[in-house]
Amino acid sequence: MAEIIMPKMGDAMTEGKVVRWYKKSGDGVKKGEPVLEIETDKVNLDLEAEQDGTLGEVSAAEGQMVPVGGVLATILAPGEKPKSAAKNAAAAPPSATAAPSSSPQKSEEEVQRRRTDKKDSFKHTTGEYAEAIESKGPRIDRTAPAQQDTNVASMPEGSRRRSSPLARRMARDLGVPLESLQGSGPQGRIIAKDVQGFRGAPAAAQTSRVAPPPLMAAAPALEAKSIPLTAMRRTIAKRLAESTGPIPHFYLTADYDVTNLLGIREQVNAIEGIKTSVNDYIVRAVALALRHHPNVNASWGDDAISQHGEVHIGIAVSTPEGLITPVVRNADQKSVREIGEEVHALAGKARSRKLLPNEYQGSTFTISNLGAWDIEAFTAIINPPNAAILAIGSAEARPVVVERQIVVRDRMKVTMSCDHRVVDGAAGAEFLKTLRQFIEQPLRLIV
Amino acid sequence: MAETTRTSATTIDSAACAPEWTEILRQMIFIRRFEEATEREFRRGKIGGYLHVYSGQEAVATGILSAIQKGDIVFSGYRDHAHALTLGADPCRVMAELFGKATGVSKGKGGSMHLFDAEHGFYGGYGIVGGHLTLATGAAYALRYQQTERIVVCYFGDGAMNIGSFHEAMNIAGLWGKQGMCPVLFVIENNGYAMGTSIERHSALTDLSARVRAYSIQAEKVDAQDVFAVRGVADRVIRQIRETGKPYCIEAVTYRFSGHGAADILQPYRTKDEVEEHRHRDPIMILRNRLREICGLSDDDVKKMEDDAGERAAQAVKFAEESPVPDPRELFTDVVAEHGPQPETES
Amino acid sequence: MAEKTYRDAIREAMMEEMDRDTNVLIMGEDIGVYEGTFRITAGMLKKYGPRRVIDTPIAEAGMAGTAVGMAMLGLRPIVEMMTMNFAIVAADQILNHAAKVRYFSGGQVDVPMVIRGPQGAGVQLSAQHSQTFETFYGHFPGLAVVTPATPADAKGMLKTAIRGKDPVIFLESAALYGMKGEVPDDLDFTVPFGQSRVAREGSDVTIVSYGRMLQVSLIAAEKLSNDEGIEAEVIDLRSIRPLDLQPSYASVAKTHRAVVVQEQWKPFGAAAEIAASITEEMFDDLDAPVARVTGEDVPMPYARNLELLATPHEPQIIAAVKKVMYHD
Repeated sequence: MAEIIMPKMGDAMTEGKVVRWYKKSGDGVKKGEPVLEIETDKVNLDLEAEQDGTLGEVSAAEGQMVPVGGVLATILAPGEKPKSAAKNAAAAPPSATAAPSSSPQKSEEEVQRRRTDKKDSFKHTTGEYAEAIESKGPRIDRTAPAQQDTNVASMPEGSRRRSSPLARRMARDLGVPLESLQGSGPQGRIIAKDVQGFRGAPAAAQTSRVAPPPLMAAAPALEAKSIPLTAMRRTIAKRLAESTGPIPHFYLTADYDVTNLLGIREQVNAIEGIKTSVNDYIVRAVALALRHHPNVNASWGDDAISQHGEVHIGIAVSTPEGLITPVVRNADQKSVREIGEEVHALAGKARSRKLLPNEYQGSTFTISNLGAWDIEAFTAIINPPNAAILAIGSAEARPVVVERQIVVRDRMKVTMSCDHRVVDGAAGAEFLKTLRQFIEQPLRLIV
Repeated sequence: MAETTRTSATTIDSAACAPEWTEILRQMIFIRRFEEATEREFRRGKIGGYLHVYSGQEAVATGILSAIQKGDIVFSGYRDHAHALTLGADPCRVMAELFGKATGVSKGKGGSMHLFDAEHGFYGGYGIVGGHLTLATGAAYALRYQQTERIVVCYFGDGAMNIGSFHEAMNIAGLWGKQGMCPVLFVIENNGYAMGTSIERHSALTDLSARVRAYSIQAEKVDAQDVFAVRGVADRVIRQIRETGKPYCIEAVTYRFSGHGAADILQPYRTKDEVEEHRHRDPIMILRNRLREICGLSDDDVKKMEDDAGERAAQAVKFAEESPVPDPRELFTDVVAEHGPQPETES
Repeated sequence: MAEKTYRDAIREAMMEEMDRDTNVLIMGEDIGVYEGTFRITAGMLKKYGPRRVIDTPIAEAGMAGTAVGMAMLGLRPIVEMMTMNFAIVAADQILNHAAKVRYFSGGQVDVPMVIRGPQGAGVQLSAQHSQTFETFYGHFPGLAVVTPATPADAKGMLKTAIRGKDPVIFLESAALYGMKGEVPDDLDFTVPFGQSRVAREGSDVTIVSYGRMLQVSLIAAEKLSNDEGIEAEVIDLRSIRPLDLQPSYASVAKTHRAVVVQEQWKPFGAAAEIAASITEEMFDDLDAPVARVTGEDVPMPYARNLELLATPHEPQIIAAVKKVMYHD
């Protein structure tokens, strides 16, 4: 038996179209006799039989696009019986592009789709290394707002001042608000001198940063070094890159009053045998808030957005190898104390690398809490397929104005990263508003 | 200057039945099968890039390369599979190179146009028409400078004779030859076409050997569908080059049966009839018939050679298919010996 | 240590290496009987004979290509280009062959060869004979590209080039041939590629340059010190490929501003590469955008006054320094 395949006729050809069959299944064919006509992006040509025999099963219809190497038909030698089912054209070698459509009518649309799907075909044709390159993520994420420069971010819209990178860095280090400075550079650019002048601390600023490493040390100063990737580090890299790559992130920050929550926790912890952390309350609060916002407890899919029927909260846990997110299942149905015990057990397992897949898979929302590290606020990268992640900063006593009086309250900043395809700005804000009620009125968590 | 001569073996001496001729036939058949396999694998999408096959020209590679000695150096253009194979490159590794695999003769970094096997004296297929002629000339100088008896063979097509580096190489080779410092055999594989432009359309003077003689280099024409003729000239000429250190040129008049490259489907520059006509002068057929008539080669012997060649070609494909792709870190090796780029630690 | 000219340093490097290794030979147009247009090769034919000092026809592709073949077979050819402008004729041999054969052969051959010759503006040589090529060759992996600015570097780097395993584009400046400087006598004195150096220390601004412009930059730095009290740190890159910017980064960490000086056209030039790298690596240290001082974007004119306008000189460097210092 011989196969007639879609031949590669040009250096860049990846697929060809079956124009018409001159023979049908069962017809006799002679070596060199045309069997069908195909069309490539450059030419139309006849494919000839490579041996005498009978045309066996025809597996590509007229009008169909077939990837290079895909089987179009078989030729049975005289006396040979057809095999059960010839490999279909769809079963093309891995270098080929996506499978062909099953009916000729669809083929045009199919071509169109594939033409627009270049990236996909690149991935197919170049295999693993292309994935490796892609996993490094886009060089510039134009969808993400500036996150790094808190000075700039905290300035009101439209008030961005021209300033040199060095001046910005010095201002940041010294805690000098840029908007308070006069720029002496061209077009009012704030330069290092202006920051120094404001602080009256000349040399200190220049040297405030750790001196650069001794770059001119005698050779061999540089040592090429390769730190082998653990499977876990690979997965983290891949998942995070996947996340910032395709997911259009946006961020919402809210500042909650946690004075009452801390008070309640103190009272609860006074009960013998019970120890709860602030995070346990937050997990419950988030779980309950999600019950009110099924549109946040959701995932993006290519065809549909899935809203989940249950609330499973992933908790980011740092381990020596990296980050992992064990899951508290049905967190909305568990008490703060139950949540606390469960998180404690899961975190222990995570650190000793004993988590089972069902203990870290299947979350519907994730919380990352860096409060213990005295981080005021930060943004986290969404843990796919979740639609959002909540980044919790530390709770700290701050002067705030309550009824026109300055009082000291415990405050905590949270920042939600949202997948904009699933959660719109207003929807995210609504969720944070609901969450505020649970956090600021913590009795709701208990009763 | 001698008139252009066209050598053709009209009589066969007793040596014609030496076992060596059977080997040459075996090699020619294998080259044909191997090239057919490469075309098949190109059609299947397993071989990328450009693919230029040798079918029809087998007597040029085998007739000359069977006459050289170990230590001699061969340069070629991009239609280079047969040269590498005839020099002894492992067919599995040649096929693996075409598949872009780590086991390829050039570690999967060269492909069809840049086969390379220094161990067997093959110093490369080159992809810029005519560019390697200067390299071959310099290599020949080096071999004499190092006081060796080794020579260089440099293959190129008729199409390479209109580019500047051809003329610069010929002139320098002619000059250095006068001092006995340029032992190089230039072989014009004149298959009648520079890609799709026929010789009448690409050369103002179509007597190619005459053009070489203009640079004070001896040159002669040979019917290169007849491997006896090619080998006869090669034996004589190579002896002379080795003795004198002067360059020599053989214009091997041949014909390619396949398209210029695998993408050359329609071949609008020639007719099917023309190709068919030349198939009557298939170099394999000519040698086979002669060995059959004069030396009693049996049909069974031929069949066995055919089967064996097909089997070896299939093995090469299997080897190539099963070989691993190059490690991503190979991206950064062999760029330079020193001061090179460092692979990123994460790869 | 003795004082020598840049020209003599180059000749000495070649002759010492030819004495040391018989695989070293030199070829070029009129280098033998004529003794070289710039007299770099004076006396060499007499000493080494025509097999090692090869007078070639005017055929740059032929010279460069045969050198590649020689190098692949174990010789160490030096090709003298009468000027680097003529080497454009050999671009295919240099870029497609010398620079690539190691890679596409999977590392089966070394290509130890040097292509050397003068480049840059002279005196009224006009459009075809005044160009610089470090940017052009610097683009191609597979080559080393060096631009010595002193007699000592010319000698030490040429020896490194001859002893190496890769094709080296050795760019001399005709304007520097008569320059004198201390050159170590040690027969094994070499200067490695890929190690730039601080040519002048300073704390206020970093000037990065190479080749002839390094000397111009040093003069500008002295003027800045005397007239303006600005202490410029001047970095001599020495080689363009491999490019070592670590000392430049360290200097920018100190001065927070940089000026890059190159002789020829601004678009897509070496200065652009260096400025971009400094911005990428040292962004938060910069108090001003990195400035470039380059030649004007025109073919070199013949008239002397226009020629002088087309190439950078101290005043342009001083102006650029003042600009990044916010002193203008």
